[in-house]
Amino acid sequence: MKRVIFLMLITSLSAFSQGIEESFLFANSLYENQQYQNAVETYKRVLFFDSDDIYGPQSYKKMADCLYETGEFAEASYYYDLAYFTHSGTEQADITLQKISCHLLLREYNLAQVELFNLPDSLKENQTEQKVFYEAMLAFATEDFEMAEELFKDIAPDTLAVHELFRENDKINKLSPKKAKILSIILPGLGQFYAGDVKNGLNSLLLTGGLLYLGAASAVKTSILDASISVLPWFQRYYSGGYNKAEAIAEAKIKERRFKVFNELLDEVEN
Amino acid sequence: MKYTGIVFLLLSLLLCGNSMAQSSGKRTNLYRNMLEDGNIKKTYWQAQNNQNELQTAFSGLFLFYKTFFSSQDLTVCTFTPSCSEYGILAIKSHGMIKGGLMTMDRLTRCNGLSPQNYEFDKKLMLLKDDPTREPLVPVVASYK
Amino acid sequence: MKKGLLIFLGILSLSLKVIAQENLYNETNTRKFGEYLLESGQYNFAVKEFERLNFLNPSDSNAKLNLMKSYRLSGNWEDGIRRSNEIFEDLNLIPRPHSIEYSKLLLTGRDWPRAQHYWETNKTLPSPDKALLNTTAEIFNSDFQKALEYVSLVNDSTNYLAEGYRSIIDRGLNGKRKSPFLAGFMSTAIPGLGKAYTGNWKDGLVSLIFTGGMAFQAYRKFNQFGANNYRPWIYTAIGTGFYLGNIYGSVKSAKVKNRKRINILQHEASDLFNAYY
Repeated sequence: MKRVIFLMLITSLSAFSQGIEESFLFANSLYENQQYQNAVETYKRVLFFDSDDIYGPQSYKKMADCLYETGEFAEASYYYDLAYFTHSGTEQADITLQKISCHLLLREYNLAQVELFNLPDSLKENQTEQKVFYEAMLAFATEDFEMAEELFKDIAPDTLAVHELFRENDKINKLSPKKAKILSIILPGLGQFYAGDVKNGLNSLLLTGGLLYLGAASAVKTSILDASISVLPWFQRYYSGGYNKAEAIAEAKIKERRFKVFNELLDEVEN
Repeated sequence: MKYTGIVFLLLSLLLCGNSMAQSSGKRTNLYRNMLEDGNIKKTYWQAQNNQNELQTAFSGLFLFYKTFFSSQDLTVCTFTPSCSEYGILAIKSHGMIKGGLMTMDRLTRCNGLSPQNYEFDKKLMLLKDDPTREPLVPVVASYK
Repeated sequence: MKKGLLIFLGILSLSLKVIAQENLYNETNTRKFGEYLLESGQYNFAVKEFERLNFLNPSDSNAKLNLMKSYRLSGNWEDGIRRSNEIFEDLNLIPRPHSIEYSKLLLTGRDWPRAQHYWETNKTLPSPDKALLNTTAEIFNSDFQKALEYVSLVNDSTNYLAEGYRSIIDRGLNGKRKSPFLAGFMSTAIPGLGKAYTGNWKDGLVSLIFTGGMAFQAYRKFNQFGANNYRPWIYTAIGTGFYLGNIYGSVKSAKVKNRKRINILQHEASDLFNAYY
């Protein structure tokens, strides 16, 4: 008999734990403690059982934050969208700023630009700072360097260093992939040297030179027909491959150097 | 159950409380890799994990070709893996004789005239033809 | 007195149960949430839910079924097989839906001998099911003769899976095959002819040009330099490589042609199987 009573009590008491309210609070505490993955799962459970739509409006922003922190930027952006309509005022601006960040990290620059237009005119000081930071990065990524320079100078403490970095950036503009291609058409490897890739330049020069020599030698020893059958296709392949490659190398070099300047700009902002 | 929950919360608070501070301000490190880094160097896993001298020799040939010849060329092969990669993979998984024959056959098939015979890799925009894999039809659906 | 206390406690406990409905982690809610996750395609998450449900109530047979299903759909069929062996005492005695689900796990793993051994020893599956599952395994093992033997064990003419399988097996056994031997033989005679026979005449033509070109060059070089020079031998070696490679390729081309024909039938079989089970 005692056992029956005991069992009854245990089952009814244990049932108290983790109702929807408690799960929501638990998810919040997980969020506060940066247990983002677990928090997302708990929020999902709360949203599923939230038939009266009480917890949804309070969960979306935090859920989006959790997804943002775990690197799920696309899904985070979706929940920021939901959160946007359940918040108001400065919080909406915060949410929009987070969305811009998501789009930047996903390299969706057009969408980031749209969200930037979506920001209200009056922002808090830290929000403005954040906005300028995003605008600066967006301008740099979309190669609007004049704008980027102005904006980076606004947020970096050392404007002189930023100025120097943008002069460095200007030098990159001088490197032209088209020019590299034309140079390599004139002399195989020249375009690669011009782009600063000595190894591939020598490689291309020796390869096409060797094939040219082989063709000439074979033309002298046998006949021009023989030489063109056996060597010309190879020469043509590596000659045209070479100048196309020179263009590709120059393009990659530009990206590499821009990447470096961009990271040094971030260093400046960080200081 | 309630108490275990509280204990868990306290524990996690203790563990994670000190990392709360960093979430404010501009988090520049997030954006370090926002732009493409322009790295076009390739690494070839196909030449690794050689089981014997023969495989090492062919892997060496493969790397030599890739480094000094293929690097001077744009993508000309219609397949993924490319003909040279197919060659080294075929020799490694089927031996020198069969692998060699497979490679010679592959070279003649690399003409782009019969794309309907192969699956298509949408990401690389190349035809799929892997010497180590036979396409299988899945028995059970993956949705129910 | 004691009775009165008991009744009072009983009512109290019942009233508390009403509040207990709110507990999101209890059995009912876990089941609800798990089923939602399974339906909405969040299979890895569903696995967690059904694992907990199975822990909360090990006698819930439906939870076990959903657990196996979540494992399979999340792509972890190996874990699914392992867990099935752990959560059931004897897999041969589990109910029919569970047996079918376990069979699906085995079929996903394509371990035909293990699957067929399971159907042999299973005591809960009706024999038509066993026959149909065996037929499925044989069709996907490309052994249509054996598949025919198994499908003939099903006598029910209203069973659309059996009827569909019969038609597939019939086409599998009687369809046009390309002979790999003939393709190889034809390519031995004339490079590329075997490939043309299997329908890949463009590849065959390229092979003919490659081999012919090399042979032509070798012939010219032998005339020019004689057999003591390295030049003709280079062309001979490459040409021989293309020639032999093409014979291999023709045999393979015939085999691929046959495989594709069977793969189409297997796709059809897969559609039928998944509609039926």
